[in-house]
Amino acid sequence: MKKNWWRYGIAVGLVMVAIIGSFGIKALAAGKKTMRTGADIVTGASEIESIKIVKNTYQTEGEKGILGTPEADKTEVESGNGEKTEEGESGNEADAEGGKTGETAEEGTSEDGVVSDEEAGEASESGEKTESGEEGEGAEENAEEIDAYFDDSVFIGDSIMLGFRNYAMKRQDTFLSRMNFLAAGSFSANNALWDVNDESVHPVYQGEQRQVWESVSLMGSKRVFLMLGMNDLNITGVEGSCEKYEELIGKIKEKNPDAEIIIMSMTYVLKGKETGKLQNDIIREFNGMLETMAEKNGWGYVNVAEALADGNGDLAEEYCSDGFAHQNPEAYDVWVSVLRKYADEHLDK
Amino acid sequence: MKKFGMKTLCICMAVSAVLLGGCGKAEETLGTNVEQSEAEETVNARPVKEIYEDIKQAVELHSPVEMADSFISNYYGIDPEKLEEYIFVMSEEATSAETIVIMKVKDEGDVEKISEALQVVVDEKRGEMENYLPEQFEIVDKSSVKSKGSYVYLVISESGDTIVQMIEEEL
Repeated sequence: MKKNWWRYGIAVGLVMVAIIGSFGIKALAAGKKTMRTGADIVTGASEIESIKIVKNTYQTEGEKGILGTPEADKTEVESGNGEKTEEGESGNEADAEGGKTGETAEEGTSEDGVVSDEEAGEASESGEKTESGEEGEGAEENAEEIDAYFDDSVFIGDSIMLGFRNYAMKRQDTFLSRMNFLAAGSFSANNALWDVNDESVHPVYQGEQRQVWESVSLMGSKRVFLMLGMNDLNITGVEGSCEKYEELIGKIKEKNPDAEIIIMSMTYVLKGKETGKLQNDIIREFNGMLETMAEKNGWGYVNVAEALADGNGDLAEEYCSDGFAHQNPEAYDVWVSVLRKYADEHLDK
Repeated sequence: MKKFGMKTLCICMAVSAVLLGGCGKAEETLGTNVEQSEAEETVNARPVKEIYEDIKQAVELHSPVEMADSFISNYYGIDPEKLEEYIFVMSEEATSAETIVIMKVKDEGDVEKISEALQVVVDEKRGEMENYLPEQFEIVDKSSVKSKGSYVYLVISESGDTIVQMIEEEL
């Protein structure tokens, strides 16, 4: 027995190794079940139901009422929105002199009780019902033609226009889905003429910064609406900004000779928040020159500024979103009304 | 005695062989469990829209607007067909650069292309806000396009760190 103890030792050792090894691997397997893996594309992925973002149809009956009635005007919208509270946002100090742009926002008060778009829509509907009742079937027929007027249209502008783009993106189940946009913060008639470079702020289209006349060509737009000036007046003044504006439109027409041009008036700033040449009297003068220029060249002109103005000729406080010059959805409701009225008046063109 | 020793050794080796053979099954089980756990993880990967809903609950966003296929296609050249799912949100306020994008590509080979497209969003916001709204410019400047597996995501927000963490915990 003593002579063979080593044999017994080897045998026992082998058995113990086998036992311990089997338990160890099983324990490892159990632990693996709870470990998080890094890769996520495996066969199981096919079992995951694909989720696509549906169109954000932030739409209420009230909004449909505004958007579907060409004759809806400022008064109508105001009466419907009578119960609203003002939406304000804090912003940065304006840079009156120098700098590339004049769009800096000033410190303002933020107020509670921002009315949701649903409430706005419902309030607007109550103000709008009477008019649709009076207009009857004629307005509905006209509404489709007015909707179609904006087919293949493009809206070019600065951050004020960018706000309208975002407003439209939230309402893609309306005629607003027919509009394209080329808008960027701090965009101007001046920098629209720059080459694309590291400092340019040309609106992006198809994944690239492009000069707007190129983008318009790629879009195949037949109606080009422009709203610029906010970032021009402090740089090139009234006359100089008009000249740049005309030069820009010349570039657009050169590349897109069949495109119809419609200039939109620059909108006002809030009373007491004027800065540098961004004075409402100067803006009025600029808009007057734009209207003359449009008439001279056979272009259209849409005066949205007056529809948003208060009795003093300043941007009405109820339409201002940032205590300076940018606008809230209620203001863009007015834009819609003014644009539809313009379309109604130009349906034969 | 020798016979006894050899017999014993053979028996022990046989027992060892049986036990180790069982380990092989355990290994197979282990392999299967790994595949199953990976599949379970994928099945359990939450849809990006649900992740976004959690973000909205946790963080106050500035008037977010969810953009649709036509928007990401027309303006940023992103083909929605290459995405299994996505959420693309920008602030309705022109004075806010806030942007939240989470995209899951169908083919991981498209991650780089989508990342480049989202970099255009960052560069665009940076250009707009520079010399215009310094506070927003700083927020944009801190942001970056990130990817993990087949996910590509971008967060431009004053609560960017919190939102990115929420996203990464889910991916």
